[in-house]
Formats: sequence, C-alpha cells, structure tokens
Amino acid sequence: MYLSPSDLLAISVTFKLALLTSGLLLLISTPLAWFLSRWKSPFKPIVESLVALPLVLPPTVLGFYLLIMLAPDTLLGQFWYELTGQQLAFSFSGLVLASIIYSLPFVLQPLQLAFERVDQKSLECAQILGASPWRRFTSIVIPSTRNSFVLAAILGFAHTVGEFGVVLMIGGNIPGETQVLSLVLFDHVESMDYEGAHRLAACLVAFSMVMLILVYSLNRKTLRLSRFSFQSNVSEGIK
Amino acid sequence: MLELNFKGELSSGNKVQTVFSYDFQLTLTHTGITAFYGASGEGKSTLLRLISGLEKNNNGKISFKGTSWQDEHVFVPPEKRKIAYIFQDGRLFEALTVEANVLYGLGAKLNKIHKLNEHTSHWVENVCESLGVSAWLQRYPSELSGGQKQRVAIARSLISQPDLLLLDEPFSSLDQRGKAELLPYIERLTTKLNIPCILVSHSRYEIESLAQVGVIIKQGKVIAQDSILNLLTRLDLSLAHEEQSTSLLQVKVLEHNDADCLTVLSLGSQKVWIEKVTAEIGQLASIRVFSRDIIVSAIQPVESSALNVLLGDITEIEHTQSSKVLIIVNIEQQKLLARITRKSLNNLDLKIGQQVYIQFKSVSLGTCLFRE
Repeated sequence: MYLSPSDLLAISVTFKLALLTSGLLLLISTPLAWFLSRWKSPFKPIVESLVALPLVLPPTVLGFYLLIMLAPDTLLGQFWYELTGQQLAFSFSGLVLASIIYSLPFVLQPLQLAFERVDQKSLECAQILGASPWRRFTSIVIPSTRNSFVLAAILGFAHTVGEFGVVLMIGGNIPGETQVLSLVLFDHVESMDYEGAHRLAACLVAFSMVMLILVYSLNRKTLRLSRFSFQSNVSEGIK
Repeated sequence: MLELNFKGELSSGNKVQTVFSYDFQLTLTHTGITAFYGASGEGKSTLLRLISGLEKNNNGKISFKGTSWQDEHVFVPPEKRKIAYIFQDGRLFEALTVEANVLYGLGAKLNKIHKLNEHTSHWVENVCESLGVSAWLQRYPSELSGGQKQRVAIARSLISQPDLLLLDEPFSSLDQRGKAELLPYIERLTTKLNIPCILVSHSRYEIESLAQVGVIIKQGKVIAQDSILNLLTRLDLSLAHEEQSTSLLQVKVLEHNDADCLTVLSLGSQKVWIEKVTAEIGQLASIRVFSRDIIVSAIQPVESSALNVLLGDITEIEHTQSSKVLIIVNIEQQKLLARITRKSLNNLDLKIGQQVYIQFKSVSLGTCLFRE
C-alpha cells in the first residue's frame, strides 16, 4: 500500500496549509475572542453571526465570494499583486486567506467560550495587586484556558485539512501549490482510481483518529483538573 | 486622607433589573480602621468598589492623600492605586502555590522567595511569620481551610506594601472558629501597617471589636460618621435600637486580683471588675456592656451580688410606645446605653440630669477588647 508522489505532495501542501492557518488563526482569534467575550453592545449578535457564518454557509458559496474578492482586478487582489508580484487567486497565499475565514469559527468559538468563563473575581484580584492588563492575561487567563487553546488549534487544523468546497472554487488544483488532499482524493474517484482513493481515504481516517486520540489523551494527562470543562468545550466547539 | 464624592446609579441582577441609586460624600482622615456599617444590600460594598476603581462611575470624584484618583480628567486604574483589597472569599489563585500567591503583587518575575533581594525577602518572611503562613508556602490553596486562605490573602495584600487597605466582609465566609482565629490577625496587622483601613461589615461585633471610626450606610447614603463609641450610643441611629445593642467603655488595667481571679479596671476614678485576663498593668482597653444587662437604681444599692456599681448622670431618655425605653448615662465623661422597661422608668421617676447608680454583673461583660 503506497501513496503516489502526487499524493505525498498534496499531503505536504495540506499540512503546510493547515499548520499555517491554525497558527495564524490563534493569533487573530485570541484578541478577537477576548474582545467578544467582554463586549456588551446591541450589535454583538450581528458581529457574532458574521464570524459564525462559515459554520453554516455552504463552502461553495464562501468559495464563490472569495474568488470574486481575490480576483486581480479587486482592491485586495491589486494590493497583494503590488506587494508580492503574485496574484492571490489560485495561489497558496490565497488558500491560506480563504482557510482562515473558513476555519475562523472553529478556533474563535472555543476561545470565546473559555474567556467568558474566566473567573472575573480572580482578574479583579490580580488587578488590585498591581498586575497590568497583559500580566493579568498571561498569569490568569492563559493558565485557566490552556486546554481551550489546544482544542482550538486542533479543531482549526483538522477543519482546514478537511476543507474541499472552498479550495475547489479558489485553489485551481495546482499540484504542489494549491492541490490539497481532499482534491486529490476527488480526482482519484473521478478517474475511477478507487484503489488510490482507498489508500488516501484510509490515511485521512487514520490521521483523524490520531488527532482525536491526541486530544483525549492530552486531556487526560495534563488537563486532569479541568477535564469536565474540557469535554464540554469539545462538544460545544463541534456544535 | 481620603475624599470622595460619588453620585450615580447601579443596575444589578440579571433577570430582574434593580436600579440602585447612591450618593456618597465622605472624607476620612482616620489612619486606623474605619468601618462601613449597614445591612446587606445598602451599598457598602459598592462604595468599596468605587474607592478601588473596580466599579467605574463617570461622574464621581475621589482623591487620596492629595492625589486625584478620579475626576473629570483623570482615572487612575485600580492596579496603579496601591491598595490592598481583602475579599469575602479570599480569592487566592488556585493554580499557584501559596508562595507564588503571596508574591504575586511584586511582579511577574519574582515568584520565588529566593529570587528576592535581601531587604524584600526579609519583609516577606516577616509578614508570613506574623500571619502564620510560613509553613504553608509550598502548598496549594485547595489544601487550606477558609480561615487559612484568608490569612494567605492578607499576607499577599500586605507584601505589596499598600497605602490603603480595604476589607470587604473578611469574616463572612468563615465559621465561628475561623472568625475567632482571624480577628486577632487583622487587629495586629492594622496596627503594624499604620495605614488607613476600611472595613465593610454588617456585623456589629466585628466593628465593635476592630474599628475606631464608623460610617453608617443606608440605601446608598452616608447616614452618620463618628467614633464607634459615639455611634453606639446615639439614640437617633438604629445601632442603639438593635436587640444586641451595646456600649463600649474605655478603661485602663489597674491591677490583677489573683485570689478572686479578677482583673480590676479603672474607669476614671471608678472601678470595674472583670474576670481575670492576661494584660499588662496600665494597658488601655475597652469593655463591651450589653444595654439589656444593665440595672439602674436611683439610690445606692446595698448588699447586692453585682460587683460593678458605677455612678453617673442621666443625659438622655428616649420615650417610645413599646415596653422598653433607652437611656444614656454619662459616667466619667463616657456614655453608657441602658435599656430598661418603661414601667421601671416611671416607678423610679427617672429624669434627665438625675444621678443614678448603674449595676452590671462582672460576668455579663462582653469580650474585653484591648487596644493599643
């Protein structure tokens, strides 16, 4: 049972994409989730709906709008072209951008939920003891939400690995650049190469299983104290 | 010197929105313990949160020792006010050891005693020693009892060397034993620090035991501000009308009588006997007398078993429609509150200015409180 070179190339593209996306998403979502968890405004449901939209929208719809947005004649497309000399649509960078939007709720929501649960009393106490906002965040918020960060990263990573509709619309299926696992699998099925499809699909199942085992064993080992909240986070995050 | 002026509204409660309006105007000059006294929900804790800056009110003013903490142009955030705040529930950081907890106020890098310079570590050890928390430094908060947690919380606040100490019902989460255990620590600490302290409490026992000055708060307003001694005997305030009403008398330890197991205290030129206590001769103290335990006589009682017979003048009588009346007796320039029946008042024909004899059994004295 061997994977073809094009399979391997797609796997490496996929993982590079998922890693970059989940990393960038953690950077973006942390302040955004913190803001949303504290924000009190009648407009909050609107903003929350907007960031949750990728959860319910068919990926092709998202992909379609992204395709239009990333086109070379748009502001964003032009800006990117002038900055890098490359066009955004049908490129790896475009794919990263699309994945960030597509996977945003999977990273944002567990973090927001966790931040909302951070004990306000401890934060006040730290503030009285002279801790700056940054120190309060690093010494109180992060330790008590560590598990949610791990969960958010894994969910973001796994969801990016599994994306299909969006990359189909804006990726262009270029091997080594935008051809990801799910597209190669689709190609195998299209060309009646069921054997190749089986191999790749089995790999994906095994990978997903490993990821989940990782989540749950990590949960048990280092996060024993807050296991209950972690599990409820998992189910809420998936919802 | 703390000056404040806050006017505003506060909405609390999630489902039923109750709007609470307050109007606080206060100047505190006292460096010992000032008590904010009132029933629950009258706004005492709100006032404390306004002082700390945890509660933001845009149309208020507050200044401490001449520095403005808040006015039209300035808002000093709570972390820059150098205050210590002891909460009801201790609020230790559960994920940190006791050591890291007590050092939290010193900054992010100094989370172990051995990382401190000699001067600071000496101070830290001194504080931990005097609060009796040194033995628990390597433990986690979950391994401590409620009273022990409060002591760690106090140590943590002190180590940051605050300019103002706020105590928000520090005893309320403790059982009777925990309270008795913590009380002397708080007393010791406030005399050691010599900074202004504000104690919020709805327990008259706590304020009588700890505070020298009291501020009575009702429905978001300051009703009265005076020394505790005066507040307890003011007939226009509810304190004197409570079932447990008391007055405090300031005395000096005169001598110990070993044969009878009694201690003699001097109240001006008169004497008070109490059960023997350990105290140095000449030490100042105050004793608590329940108003309901006092017997008033118009003539000098003879052959009575009551040891304490004091002579004083009636200065105030409050006539009520109930069976009881309150009278204030001036003994050696100190006010004593007595509660007797209306019938007795009429029988004895007591009048303002009349000289009376006050009796109370030595055993009926409240806790003897010693003050520096």
